[in-house]
Amino acid sequence: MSESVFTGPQTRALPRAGGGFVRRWVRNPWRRPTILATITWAYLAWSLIPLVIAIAVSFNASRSSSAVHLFSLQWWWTDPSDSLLHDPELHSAVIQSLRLSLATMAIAVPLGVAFALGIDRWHGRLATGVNFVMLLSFVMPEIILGLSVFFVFSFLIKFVPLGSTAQILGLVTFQVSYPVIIVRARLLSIGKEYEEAAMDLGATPRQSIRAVLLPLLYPAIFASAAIVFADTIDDFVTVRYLSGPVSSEPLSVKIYNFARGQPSPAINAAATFMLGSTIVVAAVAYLLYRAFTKGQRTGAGLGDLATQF
Amino acid sequence: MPYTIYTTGIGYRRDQIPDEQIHGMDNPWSILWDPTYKGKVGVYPSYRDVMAIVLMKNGITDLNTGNDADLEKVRTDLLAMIDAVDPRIAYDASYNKLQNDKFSVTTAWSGDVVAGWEYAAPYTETAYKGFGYWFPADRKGPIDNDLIAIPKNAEHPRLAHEFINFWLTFRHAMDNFSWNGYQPPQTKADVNALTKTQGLYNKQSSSWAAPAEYVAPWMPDAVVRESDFAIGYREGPLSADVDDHWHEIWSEFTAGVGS
Amino acid sequence: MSAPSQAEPARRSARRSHRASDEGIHYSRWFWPSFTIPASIWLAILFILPLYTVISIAFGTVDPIFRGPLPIYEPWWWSGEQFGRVLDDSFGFYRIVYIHTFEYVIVASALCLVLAYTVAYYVARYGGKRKTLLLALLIAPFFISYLMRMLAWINLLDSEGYINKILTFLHLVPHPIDWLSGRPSTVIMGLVYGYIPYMILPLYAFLDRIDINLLEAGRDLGAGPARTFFRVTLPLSRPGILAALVIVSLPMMGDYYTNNLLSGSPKTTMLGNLIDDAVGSTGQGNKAAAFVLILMALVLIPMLYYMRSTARSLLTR
Repeated sequence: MSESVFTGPQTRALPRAGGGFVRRWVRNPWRRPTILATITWAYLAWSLIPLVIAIAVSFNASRSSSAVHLFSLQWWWTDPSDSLLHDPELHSAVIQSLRLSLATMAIAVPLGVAFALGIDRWHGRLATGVNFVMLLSFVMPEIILGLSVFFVFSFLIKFVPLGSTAQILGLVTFQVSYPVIIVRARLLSIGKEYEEAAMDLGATPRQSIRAVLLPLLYPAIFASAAIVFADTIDDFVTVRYLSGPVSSEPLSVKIYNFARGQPSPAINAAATFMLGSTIVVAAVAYLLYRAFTKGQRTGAGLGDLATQF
Repeated sequence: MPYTIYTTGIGYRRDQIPDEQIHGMDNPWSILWDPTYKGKVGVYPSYRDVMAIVLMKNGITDLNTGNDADLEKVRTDLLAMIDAVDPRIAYDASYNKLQNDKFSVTTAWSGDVVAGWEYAAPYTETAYKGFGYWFPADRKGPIDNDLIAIPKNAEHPRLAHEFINFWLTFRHAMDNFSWNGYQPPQTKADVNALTKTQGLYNKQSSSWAAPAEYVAPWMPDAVVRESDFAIGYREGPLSADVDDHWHEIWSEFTAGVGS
Repeated sequence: MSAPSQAEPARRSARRSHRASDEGIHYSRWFWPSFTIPASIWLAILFILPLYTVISIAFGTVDPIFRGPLPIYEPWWWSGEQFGRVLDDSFGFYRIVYIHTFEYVIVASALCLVLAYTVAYYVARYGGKRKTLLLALLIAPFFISYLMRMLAWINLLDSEGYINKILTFLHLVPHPIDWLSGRPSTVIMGLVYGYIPYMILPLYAFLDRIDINLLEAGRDLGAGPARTFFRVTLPLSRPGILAALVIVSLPMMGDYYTNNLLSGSPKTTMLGNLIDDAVGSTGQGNKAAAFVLILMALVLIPMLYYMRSTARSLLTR
């Protein structure tokens, strides 16, 4: 899927029929993708304008969240009790979200990468079964997964109390398949040549993995880390069922509670703050991704990262 | 330790339903079925409290009934409500949606309506005076209290006791009341004066400072008296079978079947 | 298609050694399987065991005193009473809920597909210099919480929100429309809005991989662009379309929050709402587990289809 193959229709366009724009358009509306372009930009507007407004509301001077009035930092820090900085509940929710995401990322990514390496080279009936279970965890609707983990902690593994530990255990279960799938796709495109060349040159299996294979996998690892982080910070279903004391409720759960009964523009400030932190993580991941794919013709573009989602 | 007392009645928009109108009705509970307010009727996502109101509407005072005929009436009425007014189920029916005119009539705990001014945005006099609370004048309606309990395995039982003591202090209890709207069971409080005296929390905005009575003067029904507990009806635990029956009826309602 | 060209010599030498690795010279037998052990144990305890617990609860009984579910772990003691009741009601008064669920999910997925395919097709084929920008904008919704995006719509659709303000300002409607009062159209819009980003990117990736030469072959043989699209591109993208449909419809089937936030009316109750409501109330745990099992049965076929296509794409890309 290298970009050099891509040729736009503009370079291959058949000779244009004469006449004005309208006539040409009527004759063949698909030649110049006016309609497609319009739909695409309309979609983007529809998808992004609500977000822009939500962000704007967080800088809103009024309490009303349905209209933007004056610019103010009231909901960020100037309000002494209800702002993001001063509301202890919001404060702890933001920290809890970040904590859960980092912990999930730290556990799920190594687990998933190791699994991907192993399952890629291990064949047989047992391997097929194990792989089936992993894929099953990938496609299982979250409400099923979240609730079953909730039930297991309530009835079978009772020594794990509902709260942060249970949330992290549940989240890792839900997330571990992302690194597996991303890393396996990357392994497929790398092939076995490098590693085997290293071993031909006398490296042990461990050395060849550490010195050759892992560096080649770094882009996939960073991409999956970013995806696990972003997806966990957004997670709501699993985390809500597994939350214990109020202090273990992350921002997503708070947003839900607020939306259902305690409206406050400070929640928009909190979400905007989280948006910022996710973008930072994604940007770091993207830069690392680029740095490690430098010199390779493929996979350096945003398009390639996008296909990982 | 009981720390708040409340009744369950009807919250309503005073600009659409004047006080006299609802108080003059033969059976004010039935206002929740009045098609005039279609799409603007809110009920709590609480099967016991909503079904208790349906029982009250039918003049059944045993709020823990397991009687099949009684429960059949409840079922019919609940499903009829869907057809008649297309009700919404919302936690914040009576402390947010009613105040912001999203709902016209709601099932309401007295404390929700009393505290509702806080969510009326923007704080204007019209918004402040926009909503009211109805409960039977003879005080024959659902009444209850909330508790604070200290679990046996609490980590800091001493601190918990201290906290409860603080909560029981007349001044702090009343300060909290002026903020969250749920009346504390303080015998020291003069219940007749609650609609006239001002609490700590001053309801004000830059444009308009609301008078800060504990309970708005037009909501005397929301004041809970000690004697009410002898007159009113209380929800108690249901046996497993009866509770299943109640749940079954509620499920039918939330599934949106209609009659 | 993606191995770097400078690796050609390495590849040739590797081909020789490949035979060696097949003979098991380099790795001991358990070297690679051992890599999968931690994640496998994890999934056994926190994925398979929980699923079994759900079955044990659905076929368990109710504690007569505390009203909580009493799971039965031995299949030979399973009781069908709780599950049977839920199943009966599913054909009774809950039937309308299933109908709504399917209705909303099918309409929302179809709308998602039409819109997502158009956008993905445009970006993949005509993105040109703007491709990176377009992709960045398509990825943007991933960075903001799903619930936050729903909250944004609650504010917009409010009776005093911008949508109604614009509509009344333009005199398109005499009174503000009560969008948030149990309208199926609002729920469907919310589902489309919430899940469409998950569809566009995989579709884009799929369309981007379609070999442009095939399309040009079509054109060289005299097919117009429209014909090329319908005879070549669309059939080629069928697996991508099916996978994308599954990606969005699976989570939609279990969604309860979109509906709760944008409607709140019993008239739009979905299967996810039944599950969520049951979990929250005393004595209803078995019912929740039973609904989870039913949901799992309903999504089993699309789930297996998607697993197969994922597994396949990992073998041949």
